[in-house]
Amino acid sequence: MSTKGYHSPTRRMDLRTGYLMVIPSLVALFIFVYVPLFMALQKSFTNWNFYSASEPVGFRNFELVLQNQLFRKSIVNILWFVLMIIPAQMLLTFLFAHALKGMSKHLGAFAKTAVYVPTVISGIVASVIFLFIFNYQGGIINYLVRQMGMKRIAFFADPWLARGIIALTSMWMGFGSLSLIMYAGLMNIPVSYYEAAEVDGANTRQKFLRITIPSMKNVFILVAISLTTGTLQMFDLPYLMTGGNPVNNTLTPMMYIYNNFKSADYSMGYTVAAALLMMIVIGTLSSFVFRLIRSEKSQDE
Amino acid sequence: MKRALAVILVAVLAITLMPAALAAEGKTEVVLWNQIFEDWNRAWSEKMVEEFNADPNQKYTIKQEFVDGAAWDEKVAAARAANVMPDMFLVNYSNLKWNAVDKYIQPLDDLIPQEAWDDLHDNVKEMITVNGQKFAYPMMLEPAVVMYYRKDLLAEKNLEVPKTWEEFTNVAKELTTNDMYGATMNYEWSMWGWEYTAAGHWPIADDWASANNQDQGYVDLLTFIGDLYANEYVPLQPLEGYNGSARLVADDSVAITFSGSWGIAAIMNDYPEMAEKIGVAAAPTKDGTPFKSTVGGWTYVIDAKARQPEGAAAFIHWLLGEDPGRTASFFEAANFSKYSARKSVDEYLATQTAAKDDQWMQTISQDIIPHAIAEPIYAWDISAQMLTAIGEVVTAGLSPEEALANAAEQINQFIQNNNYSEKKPD
Repeated sequence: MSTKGYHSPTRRMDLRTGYLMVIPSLVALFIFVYVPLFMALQKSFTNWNFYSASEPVGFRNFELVLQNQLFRKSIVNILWFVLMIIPAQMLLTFLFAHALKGMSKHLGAFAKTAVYVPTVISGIVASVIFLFIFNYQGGIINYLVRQMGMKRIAFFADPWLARGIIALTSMWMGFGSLSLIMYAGLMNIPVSYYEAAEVDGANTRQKFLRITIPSMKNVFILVAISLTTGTLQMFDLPYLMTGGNPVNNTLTPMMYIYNNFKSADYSMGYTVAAALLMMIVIGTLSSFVFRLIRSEKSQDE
Repeated sequence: MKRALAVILVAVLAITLMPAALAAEGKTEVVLWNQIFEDWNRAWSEKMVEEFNADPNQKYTIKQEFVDGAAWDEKVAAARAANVMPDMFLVNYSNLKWNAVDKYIQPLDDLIPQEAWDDLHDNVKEMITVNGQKFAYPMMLEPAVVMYYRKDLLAEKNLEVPKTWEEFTNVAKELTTNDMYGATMNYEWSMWGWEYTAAGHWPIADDWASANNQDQGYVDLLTFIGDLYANEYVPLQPLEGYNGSARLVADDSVAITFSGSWGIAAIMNDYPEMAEKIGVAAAPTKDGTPFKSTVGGWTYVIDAKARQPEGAAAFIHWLLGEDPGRTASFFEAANFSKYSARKSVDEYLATQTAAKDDQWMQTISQDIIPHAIAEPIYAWDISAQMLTAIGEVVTAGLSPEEALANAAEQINQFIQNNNYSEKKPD
């Protein structure tokens, strides 16, 4: 490769312009992300109290967090949510994207708009909607159940039903945006691939497995990582719908951290340590998802 | 446009210069953070601050800011971190001791006259004292467990107000229909009173060195609650959070419910037409002995870094520790759903106000307050384990003994991990 072009005045000017464009973002990133992260890391090794001098406590805060039964329970709960939401959401949005691809122009436009509405609804509103639907006394589901002569169902008194409804609410909210991402991925696969496969005598199943799935891997990664990080950070839905009940079976790590933040039982250093541990959990799981799906460059490259 | 800009500039200057203007009048500003509770509560607070500020004999002027309860903890944490806390703020009794231990608030012994301290009930002084120093002047008391019942529904079935668990179970059974549950039994933070009454002690040893939750009293309590749920005499899922449960007897959802004394104000404000049909009583106990409700409440404290501690103390004393009539006006505004910590205010209420004819107030003052105990101050993790034990009996079908053993294991683990016995304040 010629180095002459690389160090040409034009190239240098381009580089300089590029750096100038990026510097504001880097400064903002430094001030609002890296500095707080460094400060949090430093505080997590102390018994940070706003009005008294902080004393170093080594890894004690991290030990206490990992030994805390409620925190460990919250981790188990959130892993259950991950297992319930991610596979189901990926499958449903993928299938719906296929259905969208086959719709007529007008029907497709209507479907895309309609399915996107829950995405713009806040978690608070979605929580209230589903609380009303599954309300023990007067919700529509229990009304129908009573009409069928059965006893009311205490949805939020059963751990698995409560988890299921929270998962359903989360999936309902994210369905629209993720379906459109899947749809965009499907539309981005060159038609020539399918035509060439037909010429070679491939059937529908072979085209699906040999063309569609490999071509969609990068989209799957995007969707899976988004779902993983979003689910692991779930707070608003369980906080509003169940408060962590019944018996802490819907308590999430973010709720645990928030409750500790308000509590006088632990120092702020403990709360910060819990938040940093969650950062490690989210990063680890995201890396695992990335490796599982194994992104590949586009076959055109 | 120019005119609009001029108006805005004048307004900004006025707002900026106002504190200086007030200082020019000789009054020093003292900042107070209050929480947003009921409308009547806010109206009373605003009126009192107005009266204090209008008093020419006062050297201080109060700047009151109302903060939503949902945002309170975040606002306080951020203010502490930025060192911009107000001079005084509202705190509840269960948080007061830890605020004192963490040195977030300052003692008031020397800031408030002795005659005001002498006017307090003795059991209340214990709630505000940490290591021999008093950190608040109590504003009011609220028993956390009051039984609200439908007098008309009990009368229809010739049922007496239940005093024992057995009577309660029977009444709940008789009053349960297709459209209404006989009773409710939410197991939330309010379970403290039930636990202490059942066992005679907290689920943790007095020295905080070990769990103490497996004796017969606790087994009997979990059995009683488990049976109510197993027989569906109570809703399997809470119809309302504990704090708002009083309305359930007013809107025909249940015949008997439990909530704090603040429920009286909710009924009087939202369902005044039902007041005559509702009675209050102490919660039932296993053998009919007096129920020991925990008593909580809110009061004002002075920040450890307050810029005007004398001014804050002057307002607190003026509001709560001086004229009994002034303090009594709070309880009148609350429809007597809250109770005084001062002897002189009790006397004033009993002789000078409608309280003397208020049956609810008489019942709570005579049957609940005298037996009330302070809320526990041990970590919520311990209380949460007790609620988990109840939940395991109710939802997972564990026996009370198994559930309590699980809780004991977790409580002991917590105590060991946190060296908790060393953390108990005096």
